[in-house]
Amino acid sequence: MKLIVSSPPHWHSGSSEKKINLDFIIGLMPALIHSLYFFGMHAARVIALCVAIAILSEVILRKIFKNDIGPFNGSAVYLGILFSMLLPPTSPYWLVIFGVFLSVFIGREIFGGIGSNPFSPVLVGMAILELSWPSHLNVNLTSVNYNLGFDCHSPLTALKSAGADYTSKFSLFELSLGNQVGGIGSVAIIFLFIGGIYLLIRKVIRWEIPLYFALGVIGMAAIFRAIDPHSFACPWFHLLTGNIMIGMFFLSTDYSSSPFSNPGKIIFGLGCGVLTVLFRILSVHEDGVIYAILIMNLFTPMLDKLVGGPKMLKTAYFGRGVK
Amino acid sequence: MMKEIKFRQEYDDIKIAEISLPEHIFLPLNRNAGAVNLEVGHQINKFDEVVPGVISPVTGEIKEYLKMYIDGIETDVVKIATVENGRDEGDHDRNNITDEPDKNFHEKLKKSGYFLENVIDSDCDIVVSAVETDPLCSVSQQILRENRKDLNQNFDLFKKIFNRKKINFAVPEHLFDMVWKLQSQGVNVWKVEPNYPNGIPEILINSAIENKALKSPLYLKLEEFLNICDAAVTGRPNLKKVITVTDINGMRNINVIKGTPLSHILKDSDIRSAGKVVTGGPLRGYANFDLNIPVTDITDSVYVQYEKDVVRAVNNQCINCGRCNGHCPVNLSVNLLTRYSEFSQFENCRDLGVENCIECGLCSFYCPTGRSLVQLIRLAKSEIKNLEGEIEQ
Repeated sequence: MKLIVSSPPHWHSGSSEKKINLDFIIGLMPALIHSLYFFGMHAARVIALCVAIAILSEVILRKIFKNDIGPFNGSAVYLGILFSMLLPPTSPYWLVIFGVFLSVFIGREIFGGIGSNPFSPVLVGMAILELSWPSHLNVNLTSVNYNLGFDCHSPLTALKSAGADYTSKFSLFELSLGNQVGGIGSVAIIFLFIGGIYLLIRKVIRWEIPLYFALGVIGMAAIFRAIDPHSFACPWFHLLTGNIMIGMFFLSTDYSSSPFSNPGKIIFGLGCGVLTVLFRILSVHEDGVIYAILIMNLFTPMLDKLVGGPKMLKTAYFGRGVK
Repeated sequence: MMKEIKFRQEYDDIKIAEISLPEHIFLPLNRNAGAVNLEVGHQINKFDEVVPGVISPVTGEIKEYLKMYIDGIETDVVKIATVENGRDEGDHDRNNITDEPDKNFHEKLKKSGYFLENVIDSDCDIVVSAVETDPLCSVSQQILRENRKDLNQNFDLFKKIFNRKKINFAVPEHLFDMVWKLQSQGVNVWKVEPNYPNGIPEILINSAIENKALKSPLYLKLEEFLNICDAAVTGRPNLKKVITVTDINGMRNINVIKGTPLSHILKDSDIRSAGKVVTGGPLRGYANFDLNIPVTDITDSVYVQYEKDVVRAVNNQCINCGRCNGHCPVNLSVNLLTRYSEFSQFENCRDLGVENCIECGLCSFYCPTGRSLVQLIRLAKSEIKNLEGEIEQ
């Protein structure tokens, strides 16, 4: 009888990267369908291009960096779809190619591939595009050719230029249904929320980060609102506009760039929320989700080191304790 | 893959069966005592000492002395060819213990190979556990089911031997009804959820210290506890061990002579092909390469896995998903720890408390990329030991 020898454990739960990425893609599906319904082939063009370029650049870069490409695990597909959700439907093809390539290259592969990236790869690409070609990503300009059946005036631009009183013409219900202009998928608030709940139920993402992200946004916005209700919008308005919903569930929960210790997750989530509101109110940017999460990504190693310690067993079995 | 993997250690009532006498047995020897070998060819009787402290469980002839890897540790072993005669003479029945311990139970325990003076003299708490340590093992709960009527006598006896007023008894939740009456006899019966890894001694005792304020408790499995009670009365050790054998057709509990090789157990259980033969549970067990490995005092279960179910080792990159941290019963930062270990930063591993790892295997079990996390932790532990040895020199 030939016997196989290996170290324990001799069981495996059967979970795999493939299944995790499939869950993430399923979580984005409602928003994706919403974007196809609104923008039709324009959205399909952006999504398809994003996914194709993501896969292609991952394969090429791994060849160049001599990183053996393992079994196809769907991470590039997820990255492509997530990236396309943030882009407007009129994005020119060169912008999409450049953005996705930079996401994969500078966001992920240059650091050694999946799991080693210090920043969420999608955000790196988006931040570069936003700083380099702001006019191509201006949601008010890109939506002029569409008849969407609602006011094509970005609520965040309205808030920035006309103050909080003007925002009362946007109903919160309409906003949550996705009747606002923005990225093709990032405005589908309720659909992203459904996808996020699916991810939470499947335990793919950690619940602390979305919850404390939302609490951070609401808390910070409520403080400003209390100071001056005429110039600062209400917390729910902030929560239901821009990229906050996609940031809460999909961007900030990127595995390798978010902390894993429980207190770390809470501080990370709160920090993202607070910084987002500060960016919206105090900076020249209309929507600060991308920069807020990128800044909190920087603190991830520190958060894990400071607050994530082992629980010590008090048993006589363990001679020496830990520091 | 297994269809469904359960960590709930609640198993059906599977009666303990006897199996046939093996042709040879392999008895591990404790050579530290500076013992002299008996000659090859020497006829040995049941209950004779092979070396001091090691009692032959069979009548037979000494065939040869050899070395074996038992649970990964190189051990000296004696091979004894068995002779079928007078098997049951001197075997004792656990159900007949009514005697009071007489004054020379010290002698009797020593004769049976139990050296427990230190425990008797000290004031440490004693925890008897009927909670399984590994999944796919129903030894403790089956022994509890079959001996529940005699438990009160045994506990009385045990308290007299060890001079204790209170003894702690950990039982799995679903069997609590059988033993709750013991509480009136000064036994502190305490319910444990029968989920892996709650039964691992370190976890069990840690929770006992946290909840019940025990001090440096001594851990005894139920089977061991009953064996000590027997030995104090009869002066003879129990030469058999109950083990659970699991393969694709289900579980069975068998009572085997200590030293019985695995090949005999598989033959008796009608298992003809196997990919992996694991002693001691699927999550912490040792995969054997030699089927002559004997059943020892600490073997609780034999798990046979077919080749198609075997988990293949891969060396993938960590994706930092944090599932290992979420499932770690001692709250280690497994993802950091294993990456430090992978890149030889063992000092950092020590700072994160790698020595607290009890190697339960849950991190590797849940890892979506299939990394060998337990192996990396073991590497870090052994390297830290080496480093400390160098510093001392």
